[in-house]
Amino acid sequence: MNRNGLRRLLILWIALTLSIGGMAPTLAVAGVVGTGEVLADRQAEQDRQQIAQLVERDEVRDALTHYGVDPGEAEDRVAALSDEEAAELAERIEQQPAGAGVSIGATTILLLVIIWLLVR
Amino acid sequence: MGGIAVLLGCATPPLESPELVQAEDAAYPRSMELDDTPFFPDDTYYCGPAALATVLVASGVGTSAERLIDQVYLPERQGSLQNELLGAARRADRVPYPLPETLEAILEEIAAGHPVLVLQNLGLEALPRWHYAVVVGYDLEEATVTLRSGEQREESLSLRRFERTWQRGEHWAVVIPPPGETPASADADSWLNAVAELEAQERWQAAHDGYRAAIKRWPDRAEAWLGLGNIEYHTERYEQASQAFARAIENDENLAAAHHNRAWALLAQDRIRDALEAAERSELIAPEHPRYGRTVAAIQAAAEERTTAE
Repeated sequence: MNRNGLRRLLILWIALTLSIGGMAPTLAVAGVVGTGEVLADRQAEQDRQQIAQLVERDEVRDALTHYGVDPGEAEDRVAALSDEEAAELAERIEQQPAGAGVSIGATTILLLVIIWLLVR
Repeated sequence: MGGIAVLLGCATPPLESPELVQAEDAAYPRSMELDDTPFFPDDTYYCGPAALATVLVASGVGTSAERLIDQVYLPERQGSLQNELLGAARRADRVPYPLPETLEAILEEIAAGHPVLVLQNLGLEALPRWHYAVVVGYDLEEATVTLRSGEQREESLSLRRFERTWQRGEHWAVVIPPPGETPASADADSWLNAVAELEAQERWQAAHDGYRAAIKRWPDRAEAWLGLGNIEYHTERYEQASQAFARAIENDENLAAAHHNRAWALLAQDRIRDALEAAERSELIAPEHPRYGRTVAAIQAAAEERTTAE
């Protein structure tokens, strides 16, 4: 299993044990609070959110592979997104503008063909 | 009915550029050109990788458009997504910073030496043609901007035309400053949030540089010191970590996380009694966060274990 998979399992495990609440706190589980959490003051909800975010990231990864990205590369690409960015893509990757070249795109050509068919 | 539809179709938001051309008292010069900005020509669908490579190389990353294709290009969509350009910048250990949605912010960045990655819609609203380019210069006397775009090394566009295409591109603009610098138009909160994302992805060096830059510009911001402390902690420089957390507390004694994280840094230095005290303070300030209470319990347990061992 790769590093991301392992990390995902670990986060899930921690989130689950914390939400069950029966586990005695150990030094291994705890650690410093991330700056991002403090800035957003979202610590209280964090455990629950983490589980939702894992699902969203899976969706984005699947969408990227669907659009022709190599599965291993898709994993790395999703890992580089922030939670908000991943959520945004999970929600509307189809509608997101995909910036392309300045050359004439397929849609334009299609449109020109249709116009030509109509006016000839 | 038809009349209304035409009116709606014609109603476009007002432009900012006429005002900028008029303004005499701006904090930036009337014209500026970042000639040294590299150029990666593109005549296909790779304007995303090309534009990203331009700003990354300008910020000191050794990369090229070709090397970035695998990281940002979507073959089936024949283009690149904005969020993925941000992600790829992080993978190059840089902090991508989306600008506020004003043309003035773009000019400020150019004046500060930061080329600006932008998304333009070169088509129509209904039939968009999305395109990434890099703004590298402007001239308020001539009312023009210069872009690295497509196959043109120096594309000159009227400020007005550029603003329209950029407006239709959702006002999306990003800078990637070199390590140790902050964007000229940045506010402390947005910059710290942008850096915190690199911390979350365990890109310690980039986050360290980002927090250092924040401290240089906003030395009174407790969260900037907290961020620096976190990076020192994660890179096992515990003494520097506890010092940075102490600076955070100096600037905001009620920042519970700074006390809490200082506790961990002290614990790592085997200063259990001080650690316990710091943790208890965090719990006192923010009793609503169960995490602080759990840390107190954990450190207490460690202290007791120590006593029985002795």
